[in-house]
Amino acid sequence: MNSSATSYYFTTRDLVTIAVLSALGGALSTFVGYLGLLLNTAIRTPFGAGQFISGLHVFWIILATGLIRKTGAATATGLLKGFVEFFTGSTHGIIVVLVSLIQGLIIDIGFFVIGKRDSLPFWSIIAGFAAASNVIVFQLFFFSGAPLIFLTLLIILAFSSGIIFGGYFGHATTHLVLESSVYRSTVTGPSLRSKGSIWRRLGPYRLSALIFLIVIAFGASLYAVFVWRPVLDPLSCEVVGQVSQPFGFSYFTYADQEITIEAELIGSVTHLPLQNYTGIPLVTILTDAQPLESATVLQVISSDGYSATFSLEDIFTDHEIILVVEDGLRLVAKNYPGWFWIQKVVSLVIT
Amino acid sequence: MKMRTSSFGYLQRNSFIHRLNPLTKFAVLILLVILTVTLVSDIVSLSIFVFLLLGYIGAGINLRYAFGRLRRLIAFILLIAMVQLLFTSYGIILFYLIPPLAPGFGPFFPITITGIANAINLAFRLINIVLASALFVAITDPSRFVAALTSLRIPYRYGYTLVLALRLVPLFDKESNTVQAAQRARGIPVDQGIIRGFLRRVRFTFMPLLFSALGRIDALTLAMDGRGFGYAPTRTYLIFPNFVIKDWLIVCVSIFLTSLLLWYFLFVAPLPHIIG
Repeated sequence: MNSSATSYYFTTRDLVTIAVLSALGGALSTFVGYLGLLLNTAIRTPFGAGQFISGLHVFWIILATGLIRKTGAATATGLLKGFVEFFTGSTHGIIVVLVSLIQGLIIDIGFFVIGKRDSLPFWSIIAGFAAASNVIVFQLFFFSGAPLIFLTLLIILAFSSGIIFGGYFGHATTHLVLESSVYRSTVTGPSLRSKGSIWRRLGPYRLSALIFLIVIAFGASLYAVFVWRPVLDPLSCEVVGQVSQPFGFSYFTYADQEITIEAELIGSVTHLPLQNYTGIPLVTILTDAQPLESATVLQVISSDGYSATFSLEDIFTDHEIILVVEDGLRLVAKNYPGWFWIQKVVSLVIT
Repeated sequence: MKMRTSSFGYLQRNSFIHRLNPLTKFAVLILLVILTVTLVSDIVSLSIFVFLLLGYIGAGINLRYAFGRLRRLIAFILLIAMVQLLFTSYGIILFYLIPPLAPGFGPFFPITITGIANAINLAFRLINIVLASALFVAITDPSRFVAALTSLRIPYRYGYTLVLALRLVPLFDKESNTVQAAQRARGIPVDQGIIRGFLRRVRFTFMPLLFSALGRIDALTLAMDGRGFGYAPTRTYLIFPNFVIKDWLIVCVSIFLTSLLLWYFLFVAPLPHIIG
């Protein structure tokens, strides 16, 4: 006979539970969308309120995790739910699989950290992060360059939704299901309803790991929204700040003004011997931007947020600072040390 | 020919595209998404859009099906375009959405050529991803897709979970309608008040449906265990989608073309643009 209970990590029952909850999530996704429309109508906005029910998508993953209580259950449920929504015609196409998978991964990591503990606050925080992750994924694909306030608002909405529908509602429903006779729990180890202080039960190591996870997740969200600049065209760059004519340009706009210089990169780690570099003088681009008289500083910013600051006066007298094509745009600053040679330049900010 | 439609998006036909191995179609879908996301240019987007429409025609699928999918996305497409139009401040300014209202106050929201280009590019990105996904779903039988996954050494127990979930969706869909009809028959006013109606819908639809679904788990598990599900590490299939020469050819050519395009447009020549 089948020995799935002992031979496999996920028993047949676990897999059926995952399938049933994924199917429910998929079947009700249209219904959830309708609820979003209802909320949009309620607050008289055409968009945005949908994020407030994004926690309902996380709810199924939280419930599966609460019932199965095995590492990987959330990821499996997320992936499966994503595929169910994809095959049943999700409006976001294949991206929904990625969104759902990431939500499952976050929940798995969160539950791995807190273990088999029954903690509403932690469940809620994990669900909040999972729900908010959908905004980050959609930002990467569809909202490049969207204003920070807009993204922050969506993240806050989604996070709150995750706390309410994923965390609170998910936690309460898990208890309701386990206390009923409809689902026979096979959870081993500490009881879901074990007593004692959350902090005492969590233990110092897991608490440290949880704090670390929150800091990393918070930092990653901040980085994705505030620092990281999605590159639409790696050979394009913007000139903004205190200029008469802010503008964006492609390297090829200035291709006829290329010059060649000989430079040596002397960095604290990297050293490149003297060689020729061909590119556009920075001064040519800045001249077109017409800096205001009050401007004194040029900040060159890379797509990963790294930046270097130059004196604007020095830039206008130094014709050996050029932008070259090298895995995007790279600044070659002959008379400056290696850390000024910024790669993947996306923005020139004059202040 | 009368269109035969399954419960999902799969539209059964006998076209060349339909007969391809599901993994081939999935690989092409992923490559198209990579191209769409990486090469941000209106000309590239338009080319992919035309390629996808040709795909629909080649698969014998009415284009109304494709545009029907997009109709549900109009609000989201508009949102993406609006965000780019309103908040892209660099580039050549065409006009201001809000002119100067008083000395020192305004103008606001410059509409730039770069903003228009970004709006078109990102809207097309969504349209192309959705059209490519919908085409994949329309030409791929989920059961065959799962069977094909086993050739990637994915254990059939996990693959079958997807089949099981997909088979349960119509059942739960029907049950959801039954539950809602039953609540209405009992006179429960789930439509009254937006917030109250929302909460009532959650309470009176979610919960009965959830408990009814969870109640099936033990019976399903017993039935599967009783049939020896998971007894052997492998299983046999009545129809197994083999990966044949035409699949290898299409996958290799697609990977080659994608790599070539990425290399050319990222490292050799600038991306062509109509606008911007």
